[in-house]
Amino acid sequence: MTLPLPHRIVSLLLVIVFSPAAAFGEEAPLHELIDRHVETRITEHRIPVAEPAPDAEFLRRVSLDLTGVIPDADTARAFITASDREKRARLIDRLLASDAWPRHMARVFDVMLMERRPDKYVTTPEWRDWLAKSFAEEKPLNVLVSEILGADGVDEEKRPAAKFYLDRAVDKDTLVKDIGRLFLGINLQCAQCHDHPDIDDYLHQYYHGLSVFVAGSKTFKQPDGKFVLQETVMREVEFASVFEPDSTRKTGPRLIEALMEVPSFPEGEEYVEKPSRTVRSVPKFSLRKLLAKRLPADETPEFARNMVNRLWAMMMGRGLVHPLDMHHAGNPPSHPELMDELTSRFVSSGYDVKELLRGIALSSAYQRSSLLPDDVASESVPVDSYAVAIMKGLSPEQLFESLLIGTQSAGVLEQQIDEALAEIEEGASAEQPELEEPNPEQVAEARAAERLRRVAEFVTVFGSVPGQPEGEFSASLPQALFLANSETVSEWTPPGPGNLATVLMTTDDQKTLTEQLYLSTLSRLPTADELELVGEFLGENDDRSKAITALIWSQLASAEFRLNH
Amino acid sequence: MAHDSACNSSAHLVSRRSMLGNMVAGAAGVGAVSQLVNPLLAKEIESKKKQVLIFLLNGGLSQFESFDPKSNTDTGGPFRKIPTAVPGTHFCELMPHTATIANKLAVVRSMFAEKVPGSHGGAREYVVTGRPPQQGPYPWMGPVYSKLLADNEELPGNIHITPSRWGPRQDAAFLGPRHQSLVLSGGRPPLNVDRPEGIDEHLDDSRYRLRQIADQRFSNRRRTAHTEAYQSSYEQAAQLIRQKELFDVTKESEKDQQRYGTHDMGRHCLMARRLLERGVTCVKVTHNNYDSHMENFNFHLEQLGEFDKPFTTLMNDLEDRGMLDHTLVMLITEFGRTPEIRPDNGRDHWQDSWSVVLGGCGIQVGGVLGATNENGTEIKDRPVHVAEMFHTYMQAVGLDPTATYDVGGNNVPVAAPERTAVKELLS
Repeated sequence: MTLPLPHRIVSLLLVIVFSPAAAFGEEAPLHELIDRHVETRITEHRIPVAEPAPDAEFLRRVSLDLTGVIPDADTARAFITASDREKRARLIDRLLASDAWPRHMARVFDVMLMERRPDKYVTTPEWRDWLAKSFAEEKPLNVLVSEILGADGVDEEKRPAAKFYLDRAVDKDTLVKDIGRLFLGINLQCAQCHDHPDIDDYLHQYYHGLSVFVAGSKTFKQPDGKFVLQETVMREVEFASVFEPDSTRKTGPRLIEALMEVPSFPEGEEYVEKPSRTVRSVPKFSLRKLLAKRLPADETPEFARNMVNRLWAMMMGRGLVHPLDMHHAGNPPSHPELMDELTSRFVSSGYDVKELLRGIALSSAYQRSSLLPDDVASESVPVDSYAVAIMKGLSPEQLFESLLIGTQSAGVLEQQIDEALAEIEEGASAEQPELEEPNPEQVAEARAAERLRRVAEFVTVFGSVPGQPEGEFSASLPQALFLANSETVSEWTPPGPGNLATVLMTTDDQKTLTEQLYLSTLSRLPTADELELVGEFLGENDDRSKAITALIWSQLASAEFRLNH
Repeated sequence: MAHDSACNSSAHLVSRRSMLGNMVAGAAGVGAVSQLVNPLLAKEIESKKKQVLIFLLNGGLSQFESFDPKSNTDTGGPFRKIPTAVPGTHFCELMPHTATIANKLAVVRSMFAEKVPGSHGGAREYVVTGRPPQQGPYPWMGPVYSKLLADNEELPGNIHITPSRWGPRQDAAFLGPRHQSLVLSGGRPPLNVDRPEGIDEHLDDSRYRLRQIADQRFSNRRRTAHTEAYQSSYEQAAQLIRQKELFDVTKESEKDQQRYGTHDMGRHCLMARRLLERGVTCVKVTHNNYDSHMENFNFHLEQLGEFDKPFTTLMNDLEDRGMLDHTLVMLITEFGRTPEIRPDNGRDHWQDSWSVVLGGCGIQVGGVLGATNENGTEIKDRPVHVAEMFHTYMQAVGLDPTATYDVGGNNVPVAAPERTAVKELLS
């Protein structure tokens, strides 16, 4: 069976082939590089391709991916109606330059690196602030990860970086597993007790070689009660396969194949601070510092490759290597050359996250619609071909922020927080009548905590299991019940101070009302059918306030809202 | 047995014969029931959906004060042992009612596990997932049954009745939130099952309809895997809100409420019966406060005093209704308690040997498997590892423990591949 080659592909290919950059041997822009490889596979396998995403679809997607929240109605209308030919590129630049970008990246990296573990010694707000500051100042990713892997938690300013170690209680096996998965893209868990049974590349000595870096580290409680890291001298570990318990082997610190030298000191002179009960032990040579220097570095290409793959997945909904922590010869990338080239570009850019994200966002592959081409069954479009955009579930935080924007309920939330705080205050003053008035800083803190408590509700209902990566989108009964009936959400949909329902209540023109509803919640204009449906519904229901509440809810609870499509 | 004459339901008769068929099949080395018994009968048996009832005695039930009494020894404590419905088998006197149904139970007295990190939480995870927690997280049994026995059902496949202050847990691991336990905290209905103020049934229906219309439009020409799961979660929600009385135990007869007892455990057991009767696949009841580092004997007197009667009543009711044939019942706890008695009359955690009890669903009942020595300090016969029991829990309801889940492209076995089921317990 032969399928006609879509014209679209041919024309796109021509554009790429004759683009001036390629013709003169200059380095092609990142997005052209991406499209060249993605299109090559699509052409070779004659895969049907989706149309480019309409402006509204693109705006919503890129806003969620780069800032973690849907655009508000005004932004949506302005973008859709603008005739500027460069508006998509300008939008990408604007989002990447906004304050929301580093805050969103902080949430993404928090969830990626801490996987929703409960706080232990470093709070999530401290850690996210530190991450956000790092992204805001465009810290290269290798530097950021080096700070995390080299952290000891002593210096107050850099202390949040120690969360990765401290909140895993500096447990060796947890750290080896997570450093392998999150920073190198290899899941060595099954290589803890023997060579991996199914994966030839995952050797027993890799696990133990990695463990040497952290085997000497543990927590130390300072006199001020703060937990920090301390380290004892370690040179190598002994290990034996469970299948051959009698033949023990040794390894020094090792990053996959690269075995590293550890300088030796005369006995008794290994320490700056010797181990004792009262003082934090500090060796002259720190293996953790060695790890911080050698892992996020050019000489360990697995690091850059893993990070590129994770950032690609954040934007595209799936890693070039999938699953994300399964880089090995038996599981090649969907686009091997693209993986290699993106990695080397990322390294030569100085591990510049923003540049990589910009390149992906500018590509046609990213900007395709999630709508299948007409008369094409989903089975004939392999997911990893990127011929049709992959839909992603909104993260709990994206959902929370987007529901707030969609219902224009920031004011209602403030009111909810006021009420909660008033209740707390009442309780407190009943117990201790002569309590002092809290200072503004304390009030701000209490407000932030109340907001976080509501986000945490979303995380419990919509988030992944602590200690596990965010899985693929999955819907559940408690989630549906939560969106339908929970107090938090059901106070945002009916008319409240300045929110969407209030605005719609005072809008008499039906077309204006319907447009406002769709732009606010779904970032697009309604279709003719939808205009009619809303008209009918409002006509059928006498209680206008209730009808508008139901209309808003039905948009928020729709798959179109729940999915980043 | 006392109940034989009282129970003439055809379902019951069918199941007795089917068990016989199964046993013959086992002996002849032929697997399927249908090859051995009358095809019509076989069809009826096979169509009977398997259900599961789990009792989790949380904190660590003392084997000494329950199913493995060592009265009159240095470790035995103050309580006597009493005879049971099975000649020669004794339980602790704290379980007089349970003793009368010993013939419906299989008692394993030789459970053990390696020490794992995480104290109660870690040990509990080992028991309910069959994997040591440091390898996890693996899905708990409830989500496993929901996934493997009730994947496409409208009712939630897995409901957990808990003491108060026990909120929803993410116990489904990689099986995803679809299979997470629906929690009835304190036996109350699930969270968010009441409509918001101002939304009556009519308006609720119309907003669900609008939602569905929106989804239909959106799903058209999109990959359906996500949107179908999403749509079905709202169908489940609408169904549940309409069937809210499913969670109202006061709808049961006054007489039954009295028989089960009006304390929490009584209400929770009656709720379990109600849910199982309505077809919920897996119901778990958690009973707290067995962690008796101090005053072990008073604690067990009180807790088992609450547990003993409603548990027995529920077992008898399930049998009378012909439900025990297809309902696996298990009574589990995260570990046992030390033979040594502390000066303050406490017993500490003990993973070297403890007791588990099974019943229903073709389990070989009326006997004891495994044994500890005279004063319960070590296992002397047929040690049974927690992971072997996990295999058994799967196989008892006809699931293949060696089957695998597809987790992001990896094949993950349902049960730990290095172990197998306890054949002595299975028919």
